[in-house]
Amino acid sequence: MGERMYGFNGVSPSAGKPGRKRYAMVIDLRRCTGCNACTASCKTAYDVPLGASRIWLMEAETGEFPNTKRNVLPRLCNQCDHPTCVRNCPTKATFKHPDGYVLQRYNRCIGCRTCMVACPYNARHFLPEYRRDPRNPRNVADKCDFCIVRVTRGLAPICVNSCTGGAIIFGDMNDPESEVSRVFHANKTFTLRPEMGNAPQVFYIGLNEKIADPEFAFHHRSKQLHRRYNTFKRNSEVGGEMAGNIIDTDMGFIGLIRQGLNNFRTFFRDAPHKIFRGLF
Amino acid sequence: MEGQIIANAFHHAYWGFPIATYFWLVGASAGSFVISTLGWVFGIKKYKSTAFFASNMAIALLLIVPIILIIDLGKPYRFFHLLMLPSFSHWSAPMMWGSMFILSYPISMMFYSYFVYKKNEKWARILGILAVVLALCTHWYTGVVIQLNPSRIPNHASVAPILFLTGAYVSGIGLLNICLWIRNHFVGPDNRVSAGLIADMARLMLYGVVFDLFLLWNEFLHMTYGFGEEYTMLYDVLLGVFRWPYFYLEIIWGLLFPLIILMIPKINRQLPWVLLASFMCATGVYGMRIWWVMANFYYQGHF
Amino acid sequence: MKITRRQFLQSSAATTAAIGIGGKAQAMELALGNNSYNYIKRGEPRERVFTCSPLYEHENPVQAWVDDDPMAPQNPLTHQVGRRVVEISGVTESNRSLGRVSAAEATAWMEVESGDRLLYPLKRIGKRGAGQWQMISWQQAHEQIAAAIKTSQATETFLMRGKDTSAGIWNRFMRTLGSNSLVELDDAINQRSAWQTAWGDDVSVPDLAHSHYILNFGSNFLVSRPDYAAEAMDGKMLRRARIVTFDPRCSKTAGLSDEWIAVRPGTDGVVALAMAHYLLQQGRADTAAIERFSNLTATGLLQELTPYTLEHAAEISGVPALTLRDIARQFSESGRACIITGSGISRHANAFDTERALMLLPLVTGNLEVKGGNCRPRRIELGEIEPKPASPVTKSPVKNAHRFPWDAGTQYPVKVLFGYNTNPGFNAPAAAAWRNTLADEAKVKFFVAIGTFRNETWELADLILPEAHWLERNEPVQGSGSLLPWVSLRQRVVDPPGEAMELREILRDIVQAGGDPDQSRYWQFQDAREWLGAQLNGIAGLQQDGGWELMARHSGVWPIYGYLHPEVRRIVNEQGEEILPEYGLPVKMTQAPFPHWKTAQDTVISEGELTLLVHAADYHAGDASANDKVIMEITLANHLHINVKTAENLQIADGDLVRVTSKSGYLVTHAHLTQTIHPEVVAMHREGGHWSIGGIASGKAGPKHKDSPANIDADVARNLWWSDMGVHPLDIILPVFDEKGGGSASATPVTVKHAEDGDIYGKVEVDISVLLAVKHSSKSRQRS
Ligand SMILES: Nc1nc2c(c(=O)[nH]1)N[C@H]1C(S)=C(S)[C@@H](COP(=O)(O)OP(=O)(O)OC[C@H]3O[C@@H](n4cnc5c(=O)[nH]c(N)nc54)[C@H](O)[C@@H]3O)O[C@H]1N2
Ligand SMILES: Nc1nc2c(c(=O)[nH]1)N[C@H]1C(S)=C(S)[C@@H](COP(=O)(O)OP(=O)(O)OC[C@H]3O[C@@H](n4cnc5c(=O)[nH]c(N)nc54)[C@H](O)[C@@H]3O)O[C@H]1N2
Ligand code: SF4
Ligand code: SF4
Ligand code: SF4
Ligand code: SF4
Ligand code: SF4
Ligand SMILES: [Mo]
Repeated sequence: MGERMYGFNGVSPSAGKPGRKRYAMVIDLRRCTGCNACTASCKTAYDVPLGASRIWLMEAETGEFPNTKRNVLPRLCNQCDHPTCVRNCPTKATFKHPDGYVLQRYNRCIGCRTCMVACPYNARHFLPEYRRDPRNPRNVADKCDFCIVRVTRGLAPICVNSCTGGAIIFGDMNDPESEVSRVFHANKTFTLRPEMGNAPQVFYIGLNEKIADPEFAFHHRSKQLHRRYNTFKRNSEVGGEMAGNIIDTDMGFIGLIRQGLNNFRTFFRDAPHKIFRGLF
Repeated sequence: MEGQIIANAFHHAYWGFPIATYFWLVGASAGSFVISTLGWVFGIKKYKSTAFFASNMAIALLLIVPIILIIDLGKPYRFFHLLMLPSFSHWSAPMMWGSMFILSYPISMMFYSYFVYKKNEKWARILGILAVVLALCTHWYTGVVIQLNPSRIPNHASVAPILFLTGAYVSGIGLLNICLWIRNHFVGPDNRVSAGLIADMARLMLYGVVFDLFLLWNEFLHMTYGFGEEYTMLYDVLLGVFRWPYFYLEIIWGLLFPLIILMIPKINRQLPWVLLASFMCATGVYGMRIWWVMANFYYQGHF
Repeated sequence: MKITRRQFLQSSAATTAAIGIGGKAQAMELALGNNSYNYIKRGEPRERVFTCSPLYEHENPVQAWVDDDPMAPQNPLTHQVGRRVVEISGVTESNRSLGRVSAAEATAWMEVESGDRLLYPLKRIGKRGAGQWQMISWQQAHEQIAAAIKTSQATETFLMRGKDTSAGIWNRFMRTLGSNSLVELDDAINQRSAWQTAWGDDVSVPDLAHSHYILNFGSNFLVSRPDYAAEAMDGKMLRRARIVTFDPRCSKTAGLSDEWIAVRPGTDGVVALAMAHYLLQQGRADTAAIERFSNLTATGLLQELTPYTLEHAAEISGVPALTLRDIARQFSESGRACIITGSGISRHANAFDTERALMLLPLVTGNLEVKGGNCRPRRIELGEIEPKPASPVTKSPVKNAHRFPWDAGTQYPVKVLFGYNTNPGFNAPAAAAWRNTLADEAKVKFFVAIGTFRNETWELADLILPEAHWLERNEPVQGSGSLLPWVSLRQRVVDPPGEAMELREILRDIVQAGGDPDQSRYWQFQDAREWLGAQLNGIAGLQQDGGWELMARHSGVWPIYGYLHPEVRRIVNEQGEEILPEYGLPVKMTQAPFPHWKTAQDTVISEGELTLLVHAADYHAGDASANDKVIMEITLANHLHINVKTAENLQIADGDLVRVTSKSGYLVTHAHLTQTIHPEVVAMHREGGHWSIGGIASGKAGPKHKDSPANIDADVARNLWWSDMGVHPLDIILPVFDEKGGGSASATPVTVKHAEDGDIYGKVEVDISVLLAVKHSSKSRQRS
C-alpha cells in the first residue's frame, strides 16, 4: 500500500517574488539522528504548549527481523507555496510573506481554526488559554514561522541551529549560491503529500515512502501510540475549544452519545469563561 | 508486518459536536425555509398555510447558530473581523462568504416573514426569492468549507455541497413536519395543518431521500477508486469507527427506513408513519453531520 | 594549530558575519546561533552567558540566553522580576558542541524555575523514607554534619556519587577529611578499567568524523552521546562512512545505521576475537602495527586466537559466519575504521574481557592513533589550588562500589554517607537492595544528600541540602570526547532561588563548621567564582591568551581552534580548511592476560526464559531530565519490547498486560510487539515508574493534581495530558558483577507471561531477601 506517489520529485521550489528572498528548507534524512533536539529547542524557544508542536518527529520501524530499519521524519509547517491554510482563513490572519514564510497575525486571528482544518500536514495548532508565559498569544492559531524573528536578523532558525546531525538546511532558494539551493539541485528531493497541490517548500532527501504515507501512518500505528493518542484526546481539552476529540475505542452507540454529551459539557462549561475573558 | 509508526505528534480535532450541530441547524433551517417559499414564491397554493410558521422556524433555528459559532471561536469578541470589514476580509475563504450569508439570510427571512404576515404577495415573493437563494448559499458554503480542503477525504469532492444541501432539504422537511404536528396541538382548528398536507410534504421529502441516496451511491463509487485513503474512509464509515453515525444513523435510520415507509402505499399517507419517517430523516441527517465533521479529523489526525 | 590571542578576540565577530569562509560559500549565509531575540519584545537581543552543560558523559559548552525584561511575569519560584534564562543553544566556537545542543540540554533552563526544586535544607522527621521533612537552617545542617563527621573515623565517612561534575572539589573535601571511601557509581567502570589496563588511559576516542567505517558494539550513541552522534553524521556525509551496529535490539542507532547485526547479549567478545582471528589468518592484518602498538607479535596473537573461528563465533552469537567475515573484511579494507563500545558491552558480567577483545579490531587493522581510528584521549589538565590536602594513606574500604548494599555495615561501617549526583535507589541493578540498605540505620548511620531535586534515593536521607542548579553554579570544566582538547567553565547565569547554594560553598561551610583550622586552611575562599578563577588560572597557556575572564565573556571555551563553518558544520581555519587533530601519540597496548571469552552469567537463560535488557531512554539525560515536561512528553513509556514471533509463541498480543518475572520478583507492564528485537531478548528503557524527583517525573502534576508544586508552570498545570508513566524495571534485576572490571551487570533472565488476576499496570513485586542473598553465592563463586 505504501509506495504510491512518493517516489518522485513532484514539487519544485517556487521562485516566489522576483528580487525577493525565497526561504526554504531541505531536510537530509540521511543525517537525521532522530534526536528531537529540533523539537525541544523550538518548543522551549517559543513556549509551545504541551500537546502541540511547531516541529515534531515521526518515527517508524520497518522490515522484518533481522532486516529492520528505523525511519525518522521531522515534520513542520511546509511554508507551502499554495497554502490552503491561507486560502481558507477568513480574516487574513495567516498570510504568505513575499519572502516565503507563511505567517500568523495573532491580533487578527479569531480562533475559528479553519486554517487547521485546511492544512493537509497538521502543521498548525491552537494556543490554549494557559501558557507558561501569560503574555504569549492565547486562543488563536499558531504554527512554525520559519523563525522569522531570527532569520530577518541574520540568524538561522533555532531547529537548524541545534540539529545534532546537521540535517536541516535552510536558506534562500532564489540565491543559486546558497547552500540550500545547491543541496536541493544536487540531490533527489521529495515532499510530503505532493498530491495535495500545496507545493510544500520543505524538501526531504531520502524520504521513506512508508513513513511519508498518511495511510500507512493510519493503519500501522503501534498499539502503544494508539493508546497514547486516546489518552491525549481524553485529557487534552484546551479549554473546550477542541470539542471534537473522539476516543476511537469508544464509538459504539452509547459511547458516541457519551462523547457527544461530554463534548457539549466542556463546550458550555467553558462558554461563560470565554465570554468573560474576552471582556478584558 | 510492514512496519509500524511508533512516534508521532498528536493533533486535535479542531471542530467537534457543536460545529456538527451548527451544520445540522443551518441545514434544517434552509430546508424548512425552502418549504416555506413553495407557496409564496413557487405558487403551489396548498403550501401557503405553512409558510409563516416554516419561515419563523427557520429564523429560530438560525438564531441559535451565531451563538454556537461565536462561542466556538477562540476569540469570541473578534467575531466582527468577519463582518465584511474591507481590511480584514479575505474573500478567497468560504468562511468569509459564509459569514456574509449567515448575516444576510436571517435578515431577509425576517422581511419575508413580515410580508407573508402582511400578505403582501409582491414583496413576499421578491424577498422569498432572495432568501431562498441565501438559504441555499448558507448551507452550500458549509459544504464548500470542507470541499476546498484537499486532505479531508472524502469530502474534498464536488458532490459535497450538493450532498449537504440535499441533507438540509430532507432534515428541514422532517423537522418541519414534526413541528407542524406539535403546533397543531396548540392552535385553533382553523390554523391546523392537515394530515394530508404533512403527507404531501413527506412526499417531497421522499424525493430528497432518493436523491440523497443517489448522491451517496456516487460518493461510494468515488471512494472505491482512489489512492487508498478513500478505502480507509469507506471502511471506517461502513464498518469501523464511524459506523454508528454514518451507516446506522444516516443510511439505515435516516434514509433507508424512511424510504421504505414512504414507498409503501398502505402507510405512506398515515400520519403516525409519516411522522416517524420525518423524525428519522431529521435525526438521521444529524448522524451525517457528525461523521462529516469528525471523520475528517479523525483520519487525518494520525498523520 | 591553535590560533593566537588576537584571533581569539576577533573570532566571534567573524563567526557572526560568517562571510565567505573558504571561498565556496560566497553567499551571505545565516549565522548559526550567536544571537537570540526576544520575540515578545519585537526582536530585542538577549543577554548571553557562556556556560557548560554537565548532562552527558562529555560536557557540552552552551550559551544561556537571558531576558531581563521588567514587564515579564515574576519568577514563579522566587517571585522576583528580572533576569531569567529563556533559551540554551550550543557554542559555535566549541569543537565539542559545534553549535548544537541535545533535547535535554535545550530544555534544561526550565528546571531552574521548577516548583519541584529543593529550596531549603531539609531534615527528616519520622522514620527514614517516611517522606516527612522539616525545614532547618544551613547552620543547623552544618553543625549536625560536622558533629557526625567528628564522632567517626575518617574512613567511616563515605561519598556516593555518580559522574563527577565538581572539577575535583569532592576529592578535596574527602582528602581534607582524610577519607578515600568513595562509592563511585559509574557504570562505565568496566569499560574504563579495561582501557586503563590496556593502554593506561581509561577511554578511547573514536575519530568518527574522519572515519570510513564505524563499527559500533552496544552503544546507542545517536541517543546517548550527542557529540558522537554529530561527529558520526559528519563522517557519514563528508566521508561516506558506513556505520554498522551490533546490538540485540534495533536501537535507534542500530535502526539508523547502514547495517544492524542482531547479536545475542554478552557475545560481542567472541565475535571480535573471531574477526581478529580471521583477519590475521587471511593475512589481512597490519602485522607491523600489531608489533608497534602491542606487547604481542602477530604470531603470538594468532596463537591465542586459534580457538576462535568465525563458525564458533556464529554459533555463540547467532550472527551468520558470512556476515562476520564481510564485516571483518570491510573493517580492514576501509582504510580508516574505528570502533565504539557502549554500555551494551559494559553492563555484562564479561564486560572487562569483551571490551579488551574488541580493542583487538583497531589494533590488528592498524587503526590506532591514526586519522579516523581509535585514539587516546587528549586532555588539558585543570590546575589545583594550593595548599592541597594530602591523599589519605589508608586504603579505601570500598573494594567494589557496586556492592555497596551488600558490604555496607557488614564489610565496613558507614557512619556518614554523602550522596551526590546519583540515584542508585532507582537506577542501580537490584535497586530495591540499595534502598533496603540505605533505609537501614544500622548499616548507614547518617545519610546526607545534596541535590537540586529530590530523587528516590534522597528520599531515604537524613538531611537533604539544596544545591544550585548547573545554570547557577561556578565550576571549571575539563573537556573530553574530542581529539582537539578543550576546557570550559560553568558560570552563574542566574542566582539560585531559596537558600540553594553551590556545592563548593556547601562543602566549605561543612569543613569550617568542623572548626578544625588545619582542615579549614584548604577552604579559604569567598565564593565559588573566586575559586573558579583561581583554578582556571592554573591552566598553562590560558593566561597568555587573555585569562579566564576573557574566556568567560568571549566564548566559554579555550582554546579556540577556528570557526564553525556554517555549511560543513565543522571547525575550520580562515582558509576554510578543517582543523584536524594531531595524530600519532605513542601507543603500547597490553593483552596480558589475554581476553579470552567467557559466558556472561547475567545472560545465561534456560528453556522458556528471555534476557531482559534495560537501556538508556531516548531523549533523556539520565534522571536529570526526568522532571522535564518537554522531554517527558516526547518519551514513550517503557513498555516491554518483545519480538513478534516470540510473543506469538507465548500467545501474547500487542498491548497485552504481561508479567515479567525474574528470580527476585516481577513487574507488570504492557507488551510492545516489534520486529526490532532479538527473539531471545526483551527490553525496557530505564526512565519509567519514578515516584520521586518531581510531579512531572512521577505523574503527579497536571490538571488532575491541583496542588502539585510542578504546577507553578501554567502549561503543566493545565495542559499536561499524558498519564502512562512507565514501570520501574530495576528492582527485578539480579545483581551480578564483573569481577575483573568491578561494575555490575544489568541483564537478567526473565519469563514473560500474561498478567494474572489482580495484576495492574505498573505493579512491581520484589523479594529483597533474594536480592540480598545473591551476594553470597557470587562471593563464594569468587572464592572457589
Ligand atoms: N538519552 C540518554 N543518554 C544517555 C543516558 C541516558 O540515560 N539517556 N545516560 C548516559 C550514561 S550514564 C551512559 S553510561 C551512556 C550509556 O549509553 P550507551 O552506551 O549508548 O548505553 P545504552 O543505550 O543503555 O545501551 C546501549 C545498547 O546496548 C545494547 N546491548 C545490551 N546488551 C548488549 C550486548 O551484549 N551486546 C551488544 N552489542 N549490545 C548490547 C542495548 O540494547 C542498547 O541498545 O549514556 C549516557 N547518555
Ligand atoms: N539496568 C540498567 N541499569 C542501569 C543503567 C542501564 O542502562 N540499565 N544505566 C546505568 C548507568 S550507565 C548509570 S551511569 C546509572 C545512572 O544512574 P545515576 O547514577 O542514578 O544517574 P542519573 O540517572 O543521571 O541520576 C542522577 C541524579 O542526580 C541528580 N542531579 C542532576 N544534576 C545534578 C546536579 O547538578 N547536582 C546534584 N546534586 N544532583 C544532580 C538528578 O536529579 C538525579 O537524581 O544507572 C545505571 N543503571
Ligand atoms: S503546511 Fe499547512 S500551515 Fe504550513 S503553509 Fe502549508 S497549509 Fe499552511
Ligand atoms: S484560526 Fe485564525 S488564522 Fe486560522 S483561519 Fe481562523 S482566523 Fe485565520
Ligand atoms: S523554523 Fe523555527 S519555528 Fe519553525 S520549527 Fe524550526 S525552530 Fe520551530
Ligand atoms: S535535530 Fe536534526 S538530527 Fe535531531 S531529530 Fe531534528 S532534524 Fe533530526
Ligand atoms: S496499463 Fe493497466 S489499465 Fe492500462 S491497458 Fe494496461 S492493464 Fe489496462
Ligand atoms: Mo553511565
